[in-house]
Amino acid sequence: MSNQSQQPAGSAVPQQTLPQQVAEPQASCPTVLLIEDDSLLVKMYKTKFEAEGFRILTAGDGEAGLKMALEQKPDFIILDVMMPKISGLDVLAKLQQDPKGQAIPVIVLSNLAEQEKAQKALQLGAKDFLVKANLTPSQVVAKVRQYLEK
Amino acid sequence: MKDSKIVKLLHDLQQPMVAIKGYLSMILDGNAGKASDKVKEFVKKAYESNERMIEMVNILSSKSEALNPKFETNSKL
Repeated sequence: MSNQSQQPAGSAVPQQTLPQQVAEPQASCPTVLLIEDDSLLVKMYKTKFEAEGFRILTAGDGEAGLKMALEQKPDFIILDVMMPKISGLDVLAKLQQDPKGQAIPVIVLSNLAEQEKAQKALQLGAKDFLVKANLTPSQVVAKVRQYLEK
Repeated sequence: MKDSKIVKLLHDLQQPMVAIKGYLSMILDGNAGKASDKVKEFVKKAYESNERMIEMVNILSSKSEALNPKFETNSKL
């Protein structure tokens, strides 16, 4: 489990404000599926990922997310844990049971650092278990890039 | 295992803090356009205060785990 320490804003975010750069997603840009039920967070991560040149798909619950993952076959999945209909961990288990879903790397995002859920997620094949409150959106983008480059 | 009401409360408390942290960091990243030095200074202060709230919730989370099952709430969540 990644459990990054909380840092003051000065070190957690870039010191220098960069000009706004909204890169247009290219046909070859990585597609990330975000499965998250909080619309405010969906908008936040979507804005950040699109600004970084990713194509982003979103699903507001586990059931819709699982269906979209298997139909659209994104390059990467960011998966919330506590969601309506099907929990994130159940989505992860179902993805691993499907040959189409097995190949898609998944990062699990949770609000709380719950050791038990983190271990379960990693056992089910998640690349990482991240605590949302410990990471800025740019740090989540960096994590996804890191796993896509491996 | 933690009391489910406590887990739900902590989850619900953290959700807006995550949004505040994320959006403030995006202002500092320049995703909302160019911000003046004064705006950046104020945003950093708000970011740091939010970090303290997150830390408090994390402490509460670890305490509730340690005290459980005695630590219970009467609130109807």
